[in-house]
Amino acid sequence: MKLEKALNSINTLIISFILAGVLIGILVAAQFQSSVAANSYLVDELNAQKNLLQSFDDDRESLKLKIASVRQQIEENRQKMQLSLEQGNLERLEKLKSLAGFNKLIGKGVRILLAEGKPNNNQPDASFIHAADLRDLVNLLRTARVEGIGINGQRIIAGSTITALGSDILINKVKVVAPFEVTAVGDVSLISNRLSDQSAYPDLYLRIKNKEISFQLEKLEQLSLPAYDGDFIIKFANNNA
Amino acid sequence: MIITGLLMGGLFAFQSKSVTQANNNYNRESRSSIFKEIQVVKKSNQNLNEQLLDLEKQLASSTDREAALETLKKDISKYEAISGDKAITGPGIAVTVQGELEALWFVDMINELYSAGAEGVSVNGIRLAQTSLGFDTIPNGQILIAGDVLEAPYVFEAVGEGKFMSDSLNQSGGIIERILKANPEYQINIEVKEKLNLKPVNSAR
Repeated sequence: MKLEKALNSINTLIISFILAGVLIGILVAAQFQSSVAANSYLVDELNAQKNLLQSFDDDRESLKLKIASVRQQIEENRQKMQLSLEQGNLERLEKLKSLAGFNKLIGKGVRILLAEGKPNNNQPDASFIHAADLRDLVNLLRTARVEGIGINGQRIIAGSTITALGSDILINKVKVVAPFEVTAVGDVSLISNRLSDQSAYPDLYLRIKNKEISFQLEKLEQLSLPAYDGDFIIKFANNNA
Repeated sequence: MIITGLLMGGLFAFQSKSVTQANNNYNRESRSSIFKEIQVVKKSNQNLNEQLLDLEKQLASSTDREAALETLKKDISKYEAISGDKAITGPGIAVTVQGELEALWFVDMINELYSAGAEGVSVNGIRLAQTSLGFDTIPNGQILIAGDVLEAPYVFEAVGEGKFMSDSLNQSGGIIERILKANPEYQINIEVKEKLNLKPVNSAR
């Protein structure tokens, strides 16, 4: 009887171990599977899409260089023919281009340095600078009637776009990364005054105040903004009506 | 058995964490967003290609007086449209929002319209074509732009490819859905128009 009981206990123990082993096996397999999932199809697809975007970026840079070179040649030819062309037209073209942000702009202004802080465990997003933060800042600077704005080498024109792509930001369809250098040519005291109005950009202001995002303002006697060099084709609008 | 239990518990926790991590990474890289961006960047490159072809034609004719004058006039006309110096007409969309909007929604809507290829935009008849036009919130909560107070209903008019712009705004997770999520009682109407007329930027400004 005692032997039978002992055998039964041993059997129960063995079955428990087998069951535990099977369970562990299933978990180990699931674990391997999940790491494969995290690195395979979805991630591969995202990487392929990012690579595609990178190749588009490379193409764009090459196209921009070609466009700049052809534009310069056209300008040179126009200058050579300046006497025979209507001088007023050339001046008007340059004035319109400046107005629209297609010419370099030099003047007094401010430089704002925005840098991401250390991730906060409670709100990891709070230390990131989002596309919407930059849009709000650009809007705020516009209310200060600035003459021109640039962010990390991209000139902001009326038709500029600032959008999020996952954790990245595209300005004028070009990928930019933090830290952000926002430059604005305009009335320095008016700009400073607008920047001190926390109600104009409450979300970003709060994160700056809480030191989740670093914000540095520098007033400059002279700064230079690049000309807008992105695409802008007029296909549908007609101004001859 | 205790050791086995601990092992199993540990594995459960690890497994759950790795799956959550994978999901977080995926959520941050929204598929619709990356597809949209690929479309946008691809279209931008096509536009640059067209610009280059056009400029090469201009270059070829830039030593001929008549042709050079013609391209100069075309260039002036293009920058008049972009800078808002002249009125523009063309097909597009009119988006009407019934309800009070905060400044951030104006900023985002304009951004979305240009992302979708708008060539000119106006809000309640005010043309937005220069950098110096921002949406300001005055103490009573109203929106001020270039000295004018905007009042609901807000009408955003954009000249461009109407159907494409309408689809972009209406896409899942797009600006219309986001505004309605924040303001479920609002009504938003998008109308594709054959002809819109956008006034020039106020020259008195």
